[in-house]
Amino acid sequence: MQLPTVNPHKQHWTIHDVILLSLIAIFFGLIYQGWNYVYYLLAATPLKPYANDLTLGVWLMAGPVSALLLKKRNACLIGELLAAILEMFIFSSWGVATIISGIIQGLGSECGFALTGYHHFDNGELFLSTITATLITFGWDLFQNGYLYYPLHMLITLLLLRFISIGLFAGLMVAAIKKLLIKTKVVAA
Amino acid sequence: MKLTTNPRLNPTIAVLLMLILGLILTFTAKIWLNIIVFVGCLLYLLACRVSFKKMGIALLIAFPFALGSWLSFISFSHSYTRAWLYATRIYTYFSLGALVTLCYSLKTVLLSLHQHFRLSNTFVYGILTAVGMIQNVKAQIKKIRIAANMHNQTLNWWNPMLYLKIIVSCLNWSDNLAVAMTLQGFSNDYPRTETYHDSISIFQWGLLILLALVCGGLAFF
Repeated sequence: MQLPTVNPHKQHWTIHDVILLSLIAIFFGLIYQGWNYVYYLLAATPLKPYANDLTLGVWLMAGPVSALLLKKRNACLIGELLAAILEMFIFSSWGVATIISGIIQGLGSECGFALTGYHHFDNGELFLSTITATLITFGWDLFQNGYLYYPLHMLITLLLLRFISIGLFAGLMVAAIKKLLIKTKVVAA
Repeated sequence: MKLTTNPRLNPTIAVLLMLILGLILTFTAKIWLNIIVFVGCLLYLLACRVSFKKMGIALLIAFPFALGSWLSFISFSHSYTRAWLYATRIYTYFSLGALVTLCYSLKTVLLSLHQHFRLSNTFVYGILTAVGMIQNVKAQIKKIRIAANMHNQTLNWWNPMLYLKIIVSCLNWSDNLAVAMTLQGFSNDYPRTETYHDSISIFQWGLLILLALVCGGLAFF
């Protein structure tokens, strides 16, 4: 059976693109819902900041997957934002923080692709997006979650944990998904 | 879809209020301001006749996060002030989100944003179309897992193969849905008959600006 393919050439947003990203956002919403239970177990303890950073990568997967599928400018930001909007309305327990975090996380990952001019959407750009996402989301949490008030050694640990989590889920895992998508010719190499 | 429950504010104003106050509160360190905004939101929700059960559940769900924040600042920052600041902030974020999610349906919000901020119809109807498929996505995940079990494989959520199969399913659906919408007369860049209309009175714009200014003023001065 011939698998459906994504047309990467169109630069404008079509109804097909939006439905696709929204469906994928719903799928990620369901994954996040399950992941929330893991987070809940740790979030109600003093280890909440560690839980935050260890689990963060999973919440950042929707953006890079969207970017690698559609290979468009802003696909990462829009994919992450759609996931945040749908998560907030359908699954959420986070309130306004979901939308604001979605924008920051989407922007963070998008920067990695933007810095190289959206040329290849390859693993190098994906790696760069994990770095920009780590730095931008961490900068935001200095204010939103009060990381500013934690001691320096704890901040360094949190930053490392965040990079590991984002690198593992929004980096390595997304690269593995991309490899399968290319192997099955759903997206072009 | 949630039913609209006698909302007083225009959905666009509610979204703007949620985002503006959320951003202001992110950069301030005043516990009493968090509490004022939280109480204000609760009063608004009561005025909108949101059920106590829904509000109770939302508040209960927030509790572990607030407790976690409180405990972590006590443990690592050794400050009761900061502990209460970030614990109350979590409840304030929740209540600001509830201003929109408990009072308006996603459809109303998107159509209102389309009318007042020219959010493209492609996004409005694309999102709404996908939202109608939630049960299908859930069922598809189950089917994919069961099919994998029949091959003696287990597809956990960390297995990239699960994502590939879901993406292929989403691609099939989006192909079919996009064709179906086109056949029904939907066209990406053309205007369509607008059946949803709401208006924002000058009073509501004024109220939004006033609340943003007052909250900003109290937060930073």
